Amino acid sequence: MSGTLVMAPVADGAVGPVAGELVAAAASCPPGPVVLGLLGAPPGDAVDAAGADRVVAVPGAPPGTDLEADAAAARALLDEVEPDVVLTPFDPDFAAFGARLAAERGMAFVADVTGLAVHDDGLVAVRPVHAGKLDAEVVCPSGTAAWVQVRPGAFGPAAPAEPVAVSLLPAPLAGPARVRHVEWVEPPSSGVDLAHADVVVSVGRGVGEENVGLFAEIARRLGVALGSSRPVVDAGWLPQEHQIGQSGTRVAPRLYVAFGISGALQHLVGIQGAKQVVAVNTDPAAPIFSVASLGAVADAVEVGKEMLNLL
Amino acid sequence: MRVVVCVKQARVVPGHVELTADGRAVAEDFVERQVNEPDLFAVEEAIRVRERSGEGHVTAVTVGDEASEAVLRQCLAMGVDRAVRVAVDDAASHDPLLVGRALADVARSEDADLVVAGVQSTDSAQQATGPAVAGFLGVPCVPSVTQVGALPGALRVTREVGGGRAEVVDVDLPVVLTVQTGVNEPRYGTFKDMMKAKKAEIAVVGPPEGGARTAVRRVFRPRADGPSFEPIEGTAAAVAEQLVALVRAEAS
Repeated sequence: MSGTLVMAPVADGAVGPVAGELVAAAASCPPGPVVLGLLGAPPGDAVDAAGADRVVAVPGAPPGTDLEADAAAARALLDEVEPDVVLTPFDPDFAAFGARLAAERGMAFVADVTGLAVHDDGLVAVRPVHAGKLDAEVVCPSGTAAWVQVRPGAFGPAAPAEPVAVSLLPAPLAGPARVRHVEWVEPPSSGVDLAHADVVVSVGRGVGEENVGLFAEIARRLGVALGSSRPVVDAGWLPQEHQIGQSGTRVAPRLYVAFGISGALQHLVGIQGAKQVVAVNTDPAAPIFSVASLGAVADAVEVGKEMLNLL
Repeated sequence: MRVVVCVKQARVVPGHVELTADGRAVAEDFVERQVNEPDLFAVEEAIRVRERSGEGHVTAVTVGDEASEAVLRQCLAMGVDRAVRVAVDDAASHDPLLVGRALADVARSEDADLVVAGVQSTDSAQQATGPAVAGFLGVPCVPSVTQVGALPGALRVTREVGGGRAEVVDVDLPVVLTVQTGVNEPRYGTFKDMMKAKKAEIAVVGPPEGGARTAVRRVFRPRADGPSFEPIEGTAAAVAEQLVALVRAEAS
């Protein structure tokens, strides 16, 4: 058992930037060979491995398409590499099987990791706790293999490197399928085009149900799009078409103004394309402020009422 | 149909906190405990599965100290049949695999056909509990489920796959599902259920052998060097003026 296995997806025929981020993160893990393990059909015979020593791939559909196939592919990579540390992206596709594999294999597990370092007692991972208001250092003791899910964007991109030949692993033998695909369901088309909006005014649970209309009116008078965090839609305060986040719409506006939004990871993922994020929230520790360039620690509703007076 | 639903008592802390002397945790005075809201959607779904199957049994289980029994009483008030607490102390319960093993042990002893949990906790948000339980039980896990329907010896479930899309899959039992938020309306118990829940007996079992595999060394404020954003100072009116100007500049 040695070295680091980085697992990364191939999607749309390309190895995305997250592979490079994870290989860069491997530099902070215990020394040893770094293997880039690809899930999904590799784009060619050789890929830019961002400095990894070796590339292996389990051909198949991109992660997230077939839950049992993803778990089987991960097992095949573990059996081939036998690493000390596994690094995967922290996203729903990899979260679906990460802790499951770590449980099966007797590994230590930690997710949503933003920092890594080797100390005397083991591999120390930094991750947000208490809804992102604080960070924690979590020790994965030396001697136990560790499964680490890394927050995308937490480690810088690796420099481009020479292509490395891809070794294909045989597709794992499928047992009887315990999870069987029936059909895909597409989202209903909506009149709200958040994905292409230049400016988005967005509300979170902090504004309260009775004030959602206030911000809808502000957005209307300013001629900009209205978005929301997931909890607002879950509570039925706005229809699903306004939801911004990992499971809703991903937006890339020039300006994103977040009112009463705490900044849970799945929402931050939805706004990572925004050029400028401005946040208004009474809680100075709200994680939304970590991605905002401009912000006011203030009552969003008070500010909203004053904005309406100006419009 | 025997269902086990996993419920967490989440910790909520305010913007300003103090830490314990050893720096490993937030001081008790600053911690509020609250049921993990995403788990309520799982409890509601578990009860609906029992109702649709005509006969069945739902056990709610939590991993934690005695104070965490409050979330079990809330589940009993909603109408689950039985409640179990696995006694694990605060310091160890940060480890999703220890929690997963504890829950899997209860699922086994309850002879569960179906295990459900919320998609993640509001405080820790690692999305790990459901998959960990599945790993220890040796069964599949389908995360982010929005609908559950019955088939003979199996379930037909809809799961979110991102961007508003979904997949419908058939899954054999036993299976672990994590339930997405907002997919149902968690019920309030009747007054009678709440009174019964107050007096109900909660079974307590010991922690799994071996303990946590990881340890929290310390907690700290992420932005110790001060905010990285430019603050807008002044009254609500001053903030409003700046925001309107900013939006108008970018929207044109």
